[in-house]
Amino acid sequence: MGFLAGGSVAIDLRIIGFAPSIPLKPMERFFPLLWLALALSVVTGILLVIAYPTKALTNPVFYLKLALVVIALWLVHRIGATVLRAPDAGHKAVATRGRMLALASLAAWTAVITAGRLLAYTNR
Amino acid sequence: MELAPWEIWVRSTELHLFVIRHEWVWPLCEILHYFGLSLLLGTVGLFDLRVLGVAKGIPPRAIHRLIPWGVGGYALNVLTGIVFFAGHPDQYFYNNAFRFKALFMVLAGVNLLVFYGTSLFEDMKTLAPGARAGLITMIIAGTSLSMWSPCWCVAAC
Repeated sequence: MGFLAGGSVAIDLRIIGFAPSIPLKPMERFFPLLWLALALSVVTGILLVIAYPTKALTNPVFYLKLALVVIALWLVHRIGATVLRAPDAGHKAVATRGRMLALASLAAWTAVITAGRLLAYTNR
Repeated sequence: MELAPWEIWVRSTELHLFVIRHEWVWPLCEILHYFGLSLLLGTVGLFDLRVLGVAKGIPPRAIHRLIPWGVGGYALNVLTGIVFFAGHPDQYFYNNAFRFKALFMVLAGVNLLVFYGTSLFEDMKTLAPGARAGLITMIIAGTSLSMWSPCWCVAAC
């Protein structure tokens, strides 16, 4: 998940305007690897829940984390479908809408990481 | 079992006492540590992937511009790592998983020196979009990915 969040954050940083010399369109080629990282996270996550079902399933923070992951993934998808595929996606600054998506994505992954870590402290 | 002198010293520091006395320090540092590793894996990872041939439309020197964020993430992790170590030194020092992680970090560091300390770094900057990187540069990128990724795998153990 570190690579999934990190890769997504790196792309978000570019969209917001850092390292503007990076052409936007080719960044879409990283997406299959992000989805691979997601697949690994899902598999290991399922294994963890199977191993410790009560600890996860009785903790409301766990469901919060899952909801946040869904939101973060939806944002990644939206960024790929709109910002990276925009016909004028080049070296000029990204439109405000795209930047808002990137900021939201940054916030979402931060929230996922926070929920994930706090999971360890909130189970009864 | 008697404590080693270095551990007695660590447990006497203000930082150790601060971590022990305030419950919120540990989870906060864990969150920051995870964020730092995401920055590192994300930026260095994307750069390594480009060198290995993914998203060739991006000139390597452009995507290298994200690396400072990864360095920031690394620095954040060194700081939070110091907090962890100060808080529970024995949990790390005598832990084989942590020793493996330290080993991976050293190897990643050596790999880094080979890249930045030789002409390979300058050569990378000249690569145009669409160009393939040289074999040695690819090996370095592959090593980088292989060394940083297990760092957190092992830490999770």
